[in-house]
Amino acid sequence: MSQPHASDTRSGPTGGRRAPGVPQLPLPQGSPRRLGWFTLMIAAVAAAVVIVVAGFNAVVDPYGTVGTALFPTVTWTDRALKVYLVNNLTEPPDVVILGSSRAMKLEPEYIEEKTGAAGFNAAVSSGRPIDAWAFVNLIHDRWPEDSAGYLWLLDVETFRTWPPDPGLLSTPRLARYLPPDMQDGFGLDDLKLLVSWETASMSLRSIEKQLRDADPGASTEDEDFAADGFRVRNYQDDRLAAGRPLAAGIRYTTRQATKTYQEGYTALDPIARRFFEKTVALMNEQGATPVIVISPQHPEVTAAVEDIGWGDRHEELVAYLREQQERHDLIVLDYTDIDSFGGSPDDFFDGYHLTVPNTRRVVDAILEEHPDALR
Amino acid sequence: MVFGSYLFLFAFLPVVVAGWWLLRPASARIVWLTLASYFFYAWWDWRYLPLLLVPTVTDHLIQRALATRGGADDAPGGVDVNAAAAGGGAEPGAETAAGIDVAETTLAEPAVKAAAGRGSRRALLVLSLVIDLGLLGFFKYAGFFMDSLDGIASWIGLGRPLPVPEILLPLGISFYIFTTISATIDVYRGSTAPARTLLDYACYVALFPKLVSGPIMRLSQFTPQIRRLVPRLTWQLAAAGLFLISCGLAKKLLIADQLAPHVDDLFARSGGLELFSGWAAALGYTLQLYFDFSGYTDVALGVGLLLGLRLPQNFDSPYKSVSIADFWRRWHITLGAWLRDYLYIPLGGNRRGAVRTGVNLMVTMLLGGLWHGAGWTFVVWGGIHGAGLAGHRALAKRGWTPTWTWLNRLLTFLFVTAAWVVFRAPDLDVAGNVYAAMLGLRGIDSAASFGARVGLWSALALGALLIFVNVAPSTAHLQPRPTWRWALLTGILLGAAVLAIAAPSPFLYFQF
Repeated sequence: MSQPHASDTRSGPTGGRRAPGVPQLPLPQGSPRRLGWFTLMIAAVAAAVVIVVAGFNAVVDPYGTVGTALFPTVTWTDRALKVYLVNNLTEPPDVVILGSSRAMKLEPEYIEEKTGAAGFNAAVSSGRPIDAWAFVNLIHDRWPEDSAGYLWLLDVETFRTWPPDPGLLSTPRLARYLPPDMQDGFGLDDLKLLVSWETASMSLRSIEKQLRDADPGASTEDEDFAADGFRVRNYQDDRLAAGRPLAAGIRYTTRQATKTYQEGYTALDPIARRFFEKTVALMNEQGATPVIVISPQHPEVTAAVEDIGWGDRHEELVAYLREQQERHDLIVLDYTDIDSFGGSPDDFFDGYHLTVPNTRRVVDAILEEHPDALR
Repeated sequence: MVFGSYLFLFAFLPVVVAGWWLLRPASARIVWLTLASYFFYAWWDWRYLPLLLVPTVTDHLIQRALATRGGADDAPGGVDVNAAAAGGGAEPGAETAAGIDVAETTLAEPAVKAAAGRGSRRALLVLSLVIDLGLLGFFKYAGFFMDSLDGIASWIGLGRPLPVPEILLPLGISFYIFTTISATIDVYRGSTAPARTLLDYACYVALFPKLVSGPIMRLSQFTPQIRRLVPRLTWQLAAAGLFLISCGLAKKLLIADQLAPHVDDLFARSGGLELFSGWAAALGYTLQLYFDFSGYTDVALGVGLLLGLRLPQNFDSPYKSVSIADFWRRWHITLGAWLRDYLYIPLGGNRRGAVRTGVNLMVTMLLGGLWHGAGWTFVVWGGIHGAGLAGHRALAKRGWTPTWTWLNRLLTFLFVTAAWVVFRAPDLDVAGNVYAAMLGLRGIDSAASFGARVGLWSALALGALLIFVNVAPSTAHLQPRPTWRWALLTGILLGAAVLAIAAPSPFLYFQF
């Protein structure tokens, strides 16, 4: 320590009498050439540290912004997760299930049991035709030589005018299939995200998760998806287990549905239709005849919204699908009414979401009408 | 715009440095630097730019007027701009070889020698102080004083009759007002000449590396540098600048910002602290503040060097101090020097007996505390330091202070650490909670509760940092050697700091 300061007690609040002249900082000494090397070396080492860490983050891609999909993402979006699960499949699926959260409880395992065709459930929350388009492309690109069959659950509300889901835009492996004007692109913010210790710690978590979980399907944040994309457990299972009555779920769904139609869902969205048609055309190109099922709905919900717009949209959707049948090769089944597939009004989580017994009935009904549709 | 941001490091700074070295002639460079500094300030909120401009213009005019009334020419020994600012000489507060305090004699001399214009010069000085302190008082203290008066009115049963204005504190106002006050007083005293042009003075006041958090640079330190600009950027300046910036960013982003959430959490739960967690809170903030503020200063000095300008050092291993007076020679050195030269000595310094010296110390530090923030916690903090200075002085005169250096260091560190508690606390209740915990009045943490509140790794990190601040040399004394090892270490520090930028927090001294 600098002793000259040590014993000055006769001074004022700051004690010393240091002159406030031009300060003399010790500067590094050496030839200009040596000092130039030193300066550039500092910058180079710093750049190397940054590049190594950013590169590590880019490869592990814990937030799914780059799209390597080599490791599970630490942020939970079911789209990123399903991309990761597709990436982990060792064999191409024979049947791919598409749709929204209403299709998540369709079991590939049950279809395989019934048909022998291995399946993958690629349904995602708020899934729309644009999501289906991206997933069909993804699976095709993963196994370009193989052709899968498709079971697509369409909701009447699927064709409502909505912007693409943020989860789709932020999953590069899916977003790359969108038109350029819809893509977020890899921007400055994404780069800043990579240049960060915080992301590096997330990368380590991502790797740790990968190493810990032998079963990739169990390696999600809440461990509720199977390797084949089936949603093993969701919040509705928890509510059911906690004794939440179905009536409460139906009331909630009815309020939501009423709101949707009161807000003005007056026609099928043209962009959604365009992506639907593109997707079906692509499926046909691959040699597949997709099975399009209009999702079942609890009768109480149907009764509540039929006259406030749902009935008209349902009719419009059916007519639209019939029209598409004339242009494309597809099977259309309207299972809105649970009697159409032998469903039970008790086997719902709420007004929209089927429990497994009802989804099995849906599969049974499809196979009964079209025994070879899911092979 | 904060130093530890991508915008500053990778856009603003390279552009400003490049422009500075590419432009010719000197006046164009000064215009460039001044505009860059105003841009830097306006980035925070352009509406407060006039607040920076008003004292700049008025003080420069007043300083010119003071000079024409004989002040500068009548300074002791005469004042040649370059010679006076050269860093030694007969400036107030300078220490002669014999150790005789010349400041106390220089104070009276300008007044005697400039007797003819004394009245008008004094009036000009008062005008300058009224404008500067008026701005500072209104923007920084109006709310505090009104709130305090309102509280008194409420206490005596008059309700709350006063409106309490909510005024946004302009960034760095305390620093640039003190900067411009020091310049005016120095010109008044005749110890320095006014800036040659308004542009030079505007550049001095607004100089962005030191604008918002110091160091508080004297006009006499700035003028000779701006009059004789370094013609080109040398590798020596670049290496030194990059080294200091690396050290500063590492201190701020890798240490202070990592401590911050833990310290914030402990102070937020002050009611639940016990002995060890109370000390962890106090020590955590002691270290956080040091690494934050000294880190800022290192970056400021480094940026200055990249521009070929040398700013005054503000830190010199303050936690190695052996007395409170020593601490104020090592902590925020330029503020300490300001308080000494423009407050303590004018109050009479130590020339009027022991009691008056103690009073002067207390007044100086109370106002020094208030300078840091408009709140009673800062006043109390200043009072603690004032009492510490006066008390230590009295004890030392009687020979009652310990003779062992290590004990002096320990006692000083504990005193400073304890004082930081009230400085950090949002109010006196929280400070009381932490003090009670530190004194063991709230019990002793069990291993489990300490683990939950502080954590083993945090405690170990605190211990390591305490050793570091007691062992490591001051950055101001570090002379980097152009070797592989130094380059590697500095580069790693810089790279690691850049990777920690993602979620930057403002420097603590921005709020003052």
